[in-house]
Amino acid sequence: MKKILAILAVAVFAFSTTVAAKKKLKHPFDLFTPEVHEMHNSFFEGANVSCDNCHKDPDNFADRSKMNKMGCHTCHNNPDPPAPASQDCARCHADGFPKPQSHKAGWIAKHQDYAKQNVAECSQCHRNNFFCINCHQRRDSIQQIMHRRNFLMYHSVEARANPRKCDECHTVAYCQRCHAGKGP
Amino acid sequence: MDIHNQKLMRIFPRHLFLLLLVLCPWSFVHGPVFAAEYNIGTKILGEVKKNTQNQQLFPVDGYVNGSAYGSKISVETDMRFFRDFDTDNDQYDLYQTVAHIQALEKLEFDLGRQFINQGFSVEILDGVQATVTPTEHFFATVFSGIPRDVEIENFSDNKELLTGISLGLKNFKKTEATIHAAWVKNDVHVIEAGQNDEALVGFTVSRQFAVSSTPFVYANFEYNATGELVQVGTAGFDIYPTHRIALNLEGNYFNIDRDFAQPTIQGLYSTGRLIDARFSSTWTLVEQYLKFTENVSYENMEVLPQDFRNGWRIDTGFELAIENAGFRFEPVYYYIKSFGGHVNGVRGYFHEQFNDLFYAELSVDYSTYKKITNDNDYAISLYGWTGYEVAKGLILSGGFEYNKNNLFDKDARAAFRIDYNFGKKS
Repeated sequence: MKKILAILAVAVFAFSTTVAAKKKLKHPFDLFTPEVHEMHNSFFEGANVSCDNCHKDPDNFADRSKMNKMGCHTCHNNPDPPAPASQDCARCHADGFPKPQSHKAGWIAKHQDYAKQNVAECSQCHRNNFFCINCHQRRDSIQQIMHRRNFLMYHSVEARANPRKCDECHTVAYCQRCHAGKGP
Repeated sequence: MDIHNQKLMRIFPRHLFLLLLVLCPWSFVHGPVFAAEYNIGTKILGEVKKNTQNQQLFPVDGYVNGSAYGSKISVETDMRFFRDFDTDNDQYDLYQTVAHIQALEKLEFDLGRQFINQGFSVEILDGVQATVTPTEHFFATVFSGIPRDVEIENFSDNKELLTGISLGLKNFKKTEATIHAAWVKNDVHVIEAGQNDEALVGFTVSRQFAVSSTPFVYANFEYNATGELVQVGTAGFDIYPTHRIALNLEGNYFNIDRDFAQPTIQGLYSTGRLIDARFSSTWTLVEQYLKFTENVSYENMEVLPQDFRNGWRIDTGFELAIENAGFRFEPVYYYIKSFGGHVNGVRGYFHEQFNDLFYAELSVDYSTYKKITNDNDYAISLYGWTGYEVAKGLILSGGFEYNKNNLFDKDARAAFRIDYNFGKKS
């Protein structure tokens, strides 16, 4: 039985990777075919946008790994573009946006300090405030997203390490609800 | 009239008020206000399970959201309906119904029930927020309203007033700085500094340095004027030595006003300050495929007068992603130690996006713990989901959950989920 399950798991995984490989995502630069480039050139010339705006390394024009990824934003995602350009972000970023560098290294722990600096910067990408509410306020008894699955079993240990973390979302009444005998 | 209907009667007049609050400003805005883009979504999530008293439960969560974005006005609303069909328990949460109005080029209003983040704790507020940006680098925000909590019962107003102001400098030579002030009242009819009224002032500052490793320093300081104490002090530092390495070091000081009428969880466990130091890092081991992450936090808290106790919280793991194959795997080890005991645990998360339409995910959490109460045990939790987009915007998913812990000797649950989204983009 175990062998059959193992074989089945491997087969499902192999099948999935094969199917998924056919659906390889396109990078925004892959959309930049010679025809599309030709169409853009007329705008670039009219708006005095130089080649090195996108081709960061003039010695390697064709090397896409050496492109200036922010070059597109000279016209796109610019409220006052030097040449007429679509402002529809999803045209290139159909599969979401690349995360900024700040979102690495302890981002969940430190994000509140970034948000307190300039909350408008967060809403450039997280346009709908439900993105924040989803973790900070939403109630859901079925899918847990804030705590580890077994958190209930050892929350008393973590609460004694840093009770301030509990205070960020919970009131004392929430503790008393269970500890007064009305547990889950 | 049953309890459910009584609740609805109580809820709807408030909703009517919020709706009017959102709709009224429409008449003050000039120019085209039609929505160039809108989105409506629903999510229904249900589960069959038993509770610790072996009572059968069938909870169903229903979420509805809507948003519309125009050139001068955008609106957002999010709500949740809950019903347990076995116990006839109902809940209703309105998370936000807010209109963002660009009244003038440099003046914006947010009206209605809204999420605000202006310097201190984040809140859901029934009220108004106005932001003026007279220059590219300066902004001022004022806000006022009734904060709402949703923790135990339906939305309640534990505090009766929150009003404040933020004055900020943004994107000025890679520096941001903001002064915040807020006034909180438990009972709007009573003035009593410390017990009923809380006056807070805060200052945040950050700066990014224009060198290749782009170091970023930030600090946050909050002073409780009525309690006459510093309640938060934070200093942090980010640095990126190479594009594969990100490091963050942060120190925090926390204290609370123990005279304030609303008790806190920090107040339950301590008589004095709490300090916290954290080091986090992300290491890209194989570009686009494999990352190593770690977070180590050290805490020291004054549990009793002059009795300081240490705590540790650690989690470390890998993130393996093969985007072309839609494959993601994240194994993590975690460790927690405090004067309440210690915990060792591992968790793993696996996600496979077979194609654009079909996904599966699996998560497991295994923990062992020893507590000062001699409540020493282990816990296992396992869940799995799989779903398929049967029509554009409509995803049907099914899931299971298995738990073994000191509440449940064996606990198996079955779940379903229906997601439906549609909208129009400009």
